[in-house]
Amino acid sequence: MEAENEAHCCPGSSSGGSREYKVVMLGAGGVGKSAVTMQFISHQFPDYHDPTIEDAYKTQVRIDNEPAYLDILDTAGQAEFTAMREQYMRGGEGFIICYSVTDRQSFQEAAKFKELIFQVRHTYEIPLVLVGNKIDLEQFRQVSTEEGMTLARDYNCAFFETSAALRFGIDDAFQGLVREIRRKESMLSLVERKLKRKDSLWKKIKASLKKKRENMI
Amino acid sequence: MEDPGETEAHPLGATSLNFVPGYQQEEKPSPDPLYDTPDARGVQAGGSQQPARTVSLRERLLITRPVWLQLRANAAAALHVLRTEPPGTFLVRKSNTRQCQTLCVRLPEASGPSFVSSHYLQESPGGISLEGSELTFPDLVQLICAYCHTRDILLLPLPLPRAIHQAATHKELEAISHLGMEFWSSSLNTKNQQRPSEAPQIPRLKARSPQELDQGTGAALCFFNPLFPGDLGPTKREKFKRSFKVRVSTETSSPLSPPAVPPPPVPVLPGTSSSQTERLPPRQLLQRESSVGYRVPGSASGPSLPPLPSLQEVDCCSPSSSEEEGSSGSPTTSPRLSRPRHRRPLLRSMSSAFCSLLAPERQVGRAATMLMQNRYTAVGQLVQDLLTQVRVGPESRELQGIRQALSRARAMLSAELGPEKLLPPERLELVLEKSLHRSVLKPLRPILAARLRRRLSTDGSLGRLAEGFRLARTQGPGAFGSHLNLSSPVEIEPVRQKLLQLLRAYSPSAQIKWLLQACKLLYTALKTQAGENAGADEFLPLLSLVLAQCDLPDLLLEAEYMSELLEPTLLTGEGGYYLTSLSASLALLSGLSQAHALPLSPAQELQRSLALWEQRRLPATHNFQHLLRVAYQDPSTGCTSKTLAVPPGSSIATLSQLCATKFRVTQPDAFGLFLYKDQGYHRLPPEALVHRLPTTGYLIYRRAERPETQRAATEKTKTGNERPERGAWEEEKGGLNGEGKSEIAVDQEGKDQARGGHMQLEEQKAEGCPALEE
Repeated sequence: MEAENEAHCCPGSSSGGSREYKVVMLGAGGVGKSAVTMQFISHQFPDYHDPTIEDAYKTQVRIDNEPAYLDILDTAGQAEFTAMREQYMRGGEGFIICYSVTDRQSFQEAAKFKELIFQVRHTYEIPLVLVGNKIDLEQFRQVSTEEGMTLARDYNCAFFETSAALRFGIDDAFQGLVREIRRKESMLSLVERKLKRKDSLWKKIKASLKKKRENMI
Repeated sequence: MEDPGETEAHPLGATSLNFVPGYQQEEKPSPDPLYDTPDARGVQAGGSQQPARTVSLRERLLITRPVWLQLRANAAAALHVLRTEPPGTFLVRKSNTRQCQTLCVRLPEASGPSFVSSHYLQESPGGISLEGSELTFPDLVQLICAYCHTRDILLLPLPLPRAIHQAATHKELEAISHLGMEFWSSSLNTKNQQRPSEAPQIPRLKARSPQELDQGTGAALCFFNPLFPGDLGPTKREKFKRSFKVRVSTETSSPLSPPAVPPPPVPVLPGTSSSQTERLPPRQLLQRESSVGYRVPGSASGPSLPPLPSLQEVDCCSPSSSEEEGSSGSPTTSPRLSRPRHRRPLLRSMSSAFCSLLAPERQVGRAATMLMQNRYTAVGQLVQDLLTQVRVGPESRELQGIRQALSRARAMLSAELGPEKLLPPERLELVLEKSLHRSVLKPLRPILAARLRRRLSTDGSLGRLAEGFRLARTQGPGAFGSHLNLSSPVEIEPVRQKLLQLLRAYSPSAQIKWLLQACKLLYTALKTQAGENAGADEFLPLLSLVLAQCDLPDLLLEAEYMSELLEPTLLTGEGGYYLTSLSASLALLSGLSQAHALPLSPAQELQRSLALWEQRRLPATHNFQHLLRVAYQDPSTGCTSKTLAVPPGSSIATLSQLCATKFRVTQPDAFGLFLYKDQGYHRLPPEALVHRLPTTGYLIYRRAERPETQRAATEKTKTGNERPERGAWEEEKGGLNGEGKSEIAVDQEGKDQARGGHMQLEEQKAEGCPALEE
């Protein structure tokens, strides 16, 4: 179990093999999480609204010349399902936080996910991207691009404005997230390599650190 | 003002329905084209009592076409616009896929997976019609006009946006029209809900008092056209069918948890009860020890009523306020009551009576009553149809149907009157519920009671109960295996009075209050006899004995009446608990005459009764749904699993259909549901019940092909190989799914194994998540 966990969390990024990325879509109800996911995976835009409870998708993409298997968990935005939140927040490796540019409320909710994730993971160093969806509905816009960028700065993450209906910016968002996961990972392994050079005392400390981190992830 | 209206209407309206109702009609008989269409007859039928409107519905629609006719809007834009609109709001757009016009209608929140329904408009030489409907119209505007009045195949008739509906002049309409699509997001389009910030800027559109409002809605919105079938009578029942949204929670003690078996609260003696500090939170006593898991009752009827006052709060002598009539025969005062009665000075009571006339509650009550009496409002139609329908003839499970209609009507009223902000939301719901009881249950009660009585006496229940009463009276406490002393007649009389009040009341909320008061009296007696520790085991025999003494077999009808018609959220509170006690007690008494050989202990009986009750109740009101994860083997969409909400009692066939829609399968016949277990796929029989599925294994929706076993084998190896790629998250979490079961399924009931390893953690999380973190 432990070993398996480790294999998933810190795969040798150099192996270039079938690394799986667990991506979780977060955001208020009706902002288009499912639409973004479906556009990304199957190039389809659903012309219906069917509130998601929890759907899983898989796909394989190539990002920066490295294959990536994405395991995307599309979650419920509706408040009645928030009980399930902690579960996937614990399991996700990267999060796409979505709001709708036509819905200020959803933007305010998007701002809350940082703390929610922190509560579960006890760290702010989780790969994220912020997505402002529905920019095709420009005439209904309630959240400006600048506001989105400000929030992204606060999150210290990349920001994309997208339109699931027009398939605009969708790939960028997912690619951005995978890059961010990779970046954080390589930083981590760098730190680890440094640690390895130290003596056995360090090894012990590292082991305990690692254990902690795994529990957090 | 009228002239432009007429001229405007003429050229276009040669064959139009002219919906100008009211005085105007009488002043100048409508031009003859009116009679070209048979539909126009409805005008006289419906319009006679309506106040004058200068702009007809058709004109309103014609002028504001730029608002609702959005041929260039794509699906996303339509969804976006309708998302924040009240149910029934519509748009016409052009479907890209079908290249035809489509009517998009906002549905009520809980009416299905999608909140907008799309209906294609078919154009033929004969005219235009909705796909699936037999009604054809010369043009689109007439079609919309008609569907404003009758729903035909739609879920509900189409209302005009408020501003359009209320605009009094062509000028105003034109102003709206100029906005085009912008109208929907403009401040003119005041929504019924939320957005207090977007106060209307035109004085004319200010929020009005309920009285005004009533007139307004009644006027142009709807009139009944007898030529359109399908909108009258029993077909209305379809409207009751609603699917409820799921609620999921893992909270251990939801306030909505159904009453459980722990001993009921022992009320504080009246003499000492007045201090606030001693008061126990009413629900605390009814909390469940453990969570039922992943299901929590979800009442879709919007905000719920505040809980009933706990026993401690129920004053023995205060007449029930929830039903004016109930208080007329004032209950006799309990002789044991030590608290001095507060007599209001005459002047004060008079002035308070005067104030109550003007009180917002009265206003709301009156507005609600008027809305309900007015057939031209959606809610009025619902209520009036309900009344007609119930009077016409009995139906099976009619009480449930009535309750659902009541909840629906309350939601509609609340949407209508809520924005007036006369009352805080909770209070508003209470007042609305009350006026619904007055408008619906009061006239229907004699009929319903008679039907209940007929049914219960035909099946012998009433007879058995009467016999049980007799036996209990002769046998005394021994009949229930209890050693309690018989209550003295002095104690029984006040209880009997309360129960008589209960029999007289028509409102289940009032009835439950009388029941609470009766129970309170009994508890007081119980405590003096059996001490502080008296609980359910003592209470039930005592209640049974007293019921036998009171000899009111009609309580049997009332128990059913109340449990079916009470506002669902109230059922889960203390009132529900005592109602269950009453039912249990009556069941116990009915059983006396039969099962002499093996009498169940009261506790067993209570439990059985509770179980029965819960079985009966749950599907009707709470609509617990089970969450079920179904894996999907389909290469094309990339979707590997979905968590679905499955209503209790669903069969595999139903679930199959649900899967077909959710996974958007084009040939549902070719697919089937399988249980992946013991490394093989087992096809599930369509008639099997979903919640009876074995708790191990995974639910998989996949193509059903003949050589199943073979395929299963290959499938297995395939998934096994793919593990690193498709490895389910569960594996890391719980380590449950040891080997290549990439397709995970969730089994529900929340309790255990839901979502493989996932839910188990979920459960733990609810209680001790810190433990996991360490």
